[in-house]
Amino acid sequence: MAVVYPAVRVATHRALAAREQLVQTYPEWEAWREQARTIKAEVIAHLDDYLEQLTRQVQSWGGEVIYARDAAQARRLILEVAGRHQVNKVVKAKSMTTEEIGLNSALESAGLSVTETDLGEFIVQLAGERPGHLTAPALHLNREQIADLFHARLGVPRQTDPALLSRQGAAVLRSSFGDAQMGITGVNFAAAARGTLVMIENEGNLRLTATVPPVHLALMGIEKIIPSLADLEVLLRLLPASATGQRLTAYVNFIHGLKNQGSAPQAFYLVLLDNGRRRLAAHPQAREALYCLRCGACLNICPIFQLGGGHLYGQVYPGAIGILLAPFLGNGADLADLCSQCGACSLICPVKIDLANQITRLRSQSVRHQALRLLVRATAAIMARPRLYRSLEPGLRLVRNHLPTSLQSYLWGSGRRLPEFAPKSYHRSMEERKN
Amino acid sequence: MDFELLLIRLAEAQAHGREIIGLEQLAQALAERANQPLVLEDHPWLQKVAPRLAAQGVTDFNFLSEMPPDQAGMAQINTLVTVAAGAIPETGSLIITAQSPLAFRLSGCPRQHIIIVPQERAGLTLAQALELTAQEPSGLVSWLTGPSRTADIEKTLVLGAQGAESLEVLIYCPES
Ligand code: SF4
Repeated sequence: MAVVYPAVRVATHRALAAREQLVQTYPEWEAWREQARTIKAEVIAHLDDYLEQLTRQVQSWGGEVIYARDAAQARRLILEVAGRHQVNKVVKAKSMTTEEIGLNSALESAGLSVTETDLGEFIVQLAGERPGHLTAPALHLNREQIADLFHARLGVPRQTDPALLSRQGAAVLRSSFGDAQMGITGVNFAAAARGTLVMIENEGNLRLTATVPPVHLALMGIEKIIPSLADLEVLLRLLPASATGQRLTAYVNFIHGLKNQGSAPQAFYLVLLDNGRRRLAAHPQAREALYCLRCGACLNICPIFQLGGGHLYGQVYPGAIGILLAPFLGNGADLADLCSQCGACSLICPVKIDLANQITRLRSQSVRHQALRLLVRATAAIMARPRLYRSLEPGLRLVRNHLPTSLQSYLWGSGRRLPEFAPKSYHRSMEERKN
Repeated sequence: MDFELLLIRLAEAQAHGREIIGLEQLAQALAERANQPLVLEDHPWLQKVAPRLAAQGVTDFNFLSEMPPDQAGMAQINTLVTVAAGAIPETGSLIITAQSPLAFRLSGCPRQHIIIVPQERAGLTLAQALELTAQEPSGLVSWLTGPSRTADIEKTLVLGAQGAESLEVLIYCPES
């Protein structure tokens, strides 16, 4: 059985309710989705042109642009930047893209100290885990677990009030900005027209991460480009609404210039990450997965995600969108059967990605899924014929109970287990009793 | 101009807003907050209001430029008063820019943040606000919508853990 997190269910439902309440007040919602899709489709269809324009514009205001082909190169180039500025302490704002390239462990093994300054990420980092959700990384932990963690790791008095817990965490985080030499953030949108980078957040830690340390490095997947800031008129209405049911996040930060802090040298680096995105952009059927805004709505609404949580997928990006990205951005994992085909994700997606049909397409191409289907069909055929079943039962038991774990997790996924046969069938035991 | 929508949205985002006309009212509004030491952005409006604050018996206020430059000193600021570039009624957002770099960097850090919005730019549409942001010469802009918030623990909303706990907005029209 996969681990079931009750906290995930509560939290996803709350996010969905908040979203629903706001979206009902937006009669133009469907039109905005259509427009947003058009904007993203335009960029992905002409990705190279926009990349070039963005690079030029960011350079024109004094930012340095670095292109990284894959995760390993991105890590190496970021470490180079850190070395150039003699960085030993890094503060980070939440970014799935840094997760994708495994940045934290790379920085740490190079001897740098890294502090996640988003409260949820900080909790996850403290617990030594991976984030379980695109926008709410500590979703799978409840207040009791967090209280235990803070008490043990921060040495603060144990109490379970979320407000006080948040302040306990924030007090520790506050002190980490001042002596960091580099702040690392992600990017939500990058407007090619003037090279404006847009970063949204609710806590205010991203603002501090970007503005307090002398060096700011932002890492973005190349699909985050939009033509100009004017496109945000719809995108900013769609993203926070879909993620948390907010009209707008508490902070929307725009950067198209170097910060000015007296005499201290200031530097800005933009790392553009490919890591499979170009390959995805070139795939005519699959490319729409690059329109994703990472709102997390398709995770929240997914019955499989609600039950299993993000770690079920074993990937950086979970949920419906994670299934589509895995073959390109991840380790090529085939997750297409982690789907009940309910279709809710396609309806909720703010950029109208047809997630459900995309997953079906992946399924039809999946050797693993075909094999599994064959197995299920054969089992059903045998079980529907009692005579046949009884004669085959000892053999089936032998096969099942000696199935190598590797084959089992290949077919069934590593997060799940096929039930084993009982040593004796019910039928047999009843017969034995009669005698 | 009618600021009803802006005031509603500010209230929804847990920020307080009101209209202020003329320096006298501005001095009064700030004096109400003067139970805590005030730190003021070096903005012409606030420079003009300073003598009136003193006249109202408020003595515990400083301009940002008079503060010790070390960052630890900055963390001590309790109540910060700054001037925004505009406001967006649709979302209840304030637009702040780095034209005063120090005020920009500190925005959101103190426990209380009082933001003065020029009345003639307090009714921007989202499109106008994006236009203004794209043109911003300092290159750094933040839109603030309510105080800092987190819902990282069981999705329970908590205000001000990492930023200002309270946000007060004064929609200001200079001539009385
Ligand atoms: S695929 Fe759509 S719903 Fe899912 S995270 Fe991306 S934008 Fe949100």
